Amino acid sequence: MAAIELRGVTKRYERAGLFRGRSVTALHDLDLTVESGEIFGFLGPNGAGKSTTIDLLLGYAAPTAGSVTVLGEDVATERTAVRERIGVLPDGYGAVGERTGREHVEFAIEAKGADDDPDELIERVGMRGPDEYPVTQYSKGMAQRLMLAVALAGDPDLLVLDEPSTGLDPNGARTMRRIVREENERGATVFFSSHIMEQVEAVCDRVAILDGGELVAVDTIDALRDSAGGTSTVTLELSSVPEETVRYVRALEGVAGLKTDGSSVVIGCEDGAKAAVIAAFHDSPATVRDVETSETSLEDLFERYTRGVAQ
Amino acid sequence: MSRFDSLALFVREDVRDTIRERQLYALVGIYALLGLFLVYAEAQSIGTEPELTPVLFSFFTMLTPLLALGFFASSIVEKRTNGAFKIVFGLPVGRGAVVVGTFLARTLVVCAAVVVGMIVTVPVGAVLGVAIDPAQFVGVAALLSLLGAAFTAFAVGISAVVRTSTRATVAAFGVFVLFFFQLWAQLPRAVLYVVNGFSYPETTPEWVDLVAALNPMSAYANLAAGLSADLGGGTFASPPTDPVFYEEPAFGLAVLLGWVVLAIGGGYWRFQATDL
Repeated sequence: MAAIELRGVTKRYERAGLFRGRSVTALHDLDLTVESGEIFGFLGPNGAGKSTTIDLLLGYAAPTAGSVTVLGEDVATERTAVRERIGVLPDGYGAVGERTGREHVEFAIEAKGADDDPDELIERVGMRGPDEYPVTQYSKGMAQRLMLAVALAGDPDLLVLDEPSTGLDPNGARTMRRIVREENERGATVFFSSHIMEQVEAVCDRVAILDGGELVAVDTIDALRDSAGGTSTVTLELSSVPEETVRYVRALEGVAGLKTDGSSVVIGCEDGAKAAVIAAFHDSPATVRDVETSETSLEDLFERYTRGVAQ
Repeated sequence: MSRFDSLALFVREDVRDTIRERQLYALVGIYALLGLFLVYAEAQSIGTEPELTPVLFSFFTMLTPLLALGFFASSIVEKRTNGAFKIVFGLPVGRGAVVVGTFLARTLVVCAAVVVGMIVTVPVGAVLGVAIDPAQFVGVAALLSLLGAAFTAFAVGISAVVRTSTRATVAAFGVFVLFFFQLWAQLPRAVLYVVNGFSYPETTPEWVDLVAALNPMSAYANLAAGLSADLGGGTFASPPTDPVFYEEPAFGLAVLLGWVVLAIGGGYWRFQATDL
């Protein structure tokens, strides 16, 4: 069964007005399926429609057209019931009144009819201590940890995390990744949005890239790299630079360029040609002291797929 | 978790929110201080036999609509603009539970404030020799609670519909002027004036008075006057000595309950269909 299924979803925001009425199409005819049990990354630049998609998944907003199904339930009719099985870390949230962090967690546990121990959840996200203070006084990162604890209440079947790493320190980001993996191993589907590809790559099985309200790609990161025709860089540290090998490597298929600098050689080539390049230098008279390879930077990949914001 | 459980949870936590934000203390303090002042002033009055409940009734009747609207007009819209609903509606809590729950919680709060404000006057009144009619005392507490509920319903209904706190404040002020200052009664007259070719007819038709009786403050005054003749103060409405059916206490009670249902129902109807 699919955990999330969007069919032909369009969301248009209308601003009524006699003189300054206008409309913005945040999502345009979106089809997306997230399978049960996977960790799914939802990528896109600012303003691509990521948060709007999440608003529709959770019933914060209703789609202008199309259907949204979450855990087999139609969100249009089962908006409240379906949230019993979802854990949410939303974007743009604010504290409920003057409640403390702990009271937020307790409220979530009780609202879900769960029997979690609030202490355990607070411990798990690493925010013991501040939990006794009102959330209005929290820093962004501490609030994110708290919201993760709220999301984990009741062992949800689906976790929806909107930009979960925002404001987290490196330890917090690591905790977040660890918890995402743990929850996934427990059997939960994880859907999370981000504009930072490194974080997505670290945990996700598949990713979707959203741009200007439309899906531009859905695949694994490796497959995206391949289909984007990414180039790699190979840097070799040699005892000397063998002229003959350099000429040979320049002529290899898939090699885009070669640069020598003293005793080091930098080769730009397709991912597939890397092995041949390294082998050629290894077989040459020169001794290979160090090899460094890098794949297409994720930033380049991101840039290649996306162009801008919703029109 | 059933709908009832989540409603009960929301009411409990919303009441506790008013304690955390010291709203409950502020309201109790205002009523208690005013109550104590009134019982003291009544004890000093010369000429008539000092009596507790009528004076409490008049002043608390003036205060309650103002406080209910002032304190609660931002109750829902504030959570919407600061993002608290992103948390609440990420949990299995329905939109209906929030509108109805806020209404119930804030009604409890205003009723508690009224009742505490009245009870603190009893020992002081007894010491100062102010007469207290127990039956009337209980009746007045019930009447004021009903008034508090009606205006809390207006405040929560407004709060569920508007998108900013500023608009909620303005709308609440409009409701206060419309109902408390009897602007409402002028509306059917204005319609009559226009329909009649921009002049008043010689006899006022029945429906004009009927519409005027639908003002919650008039309904409240009619209800109070019907229960006890000396509960006449506190409003700009003047209950007739010889009431027709729509000026009877029972009709007044029905009108007040009708406004509660209308305000909360309307608020829910708009709120459940809106994007956060």
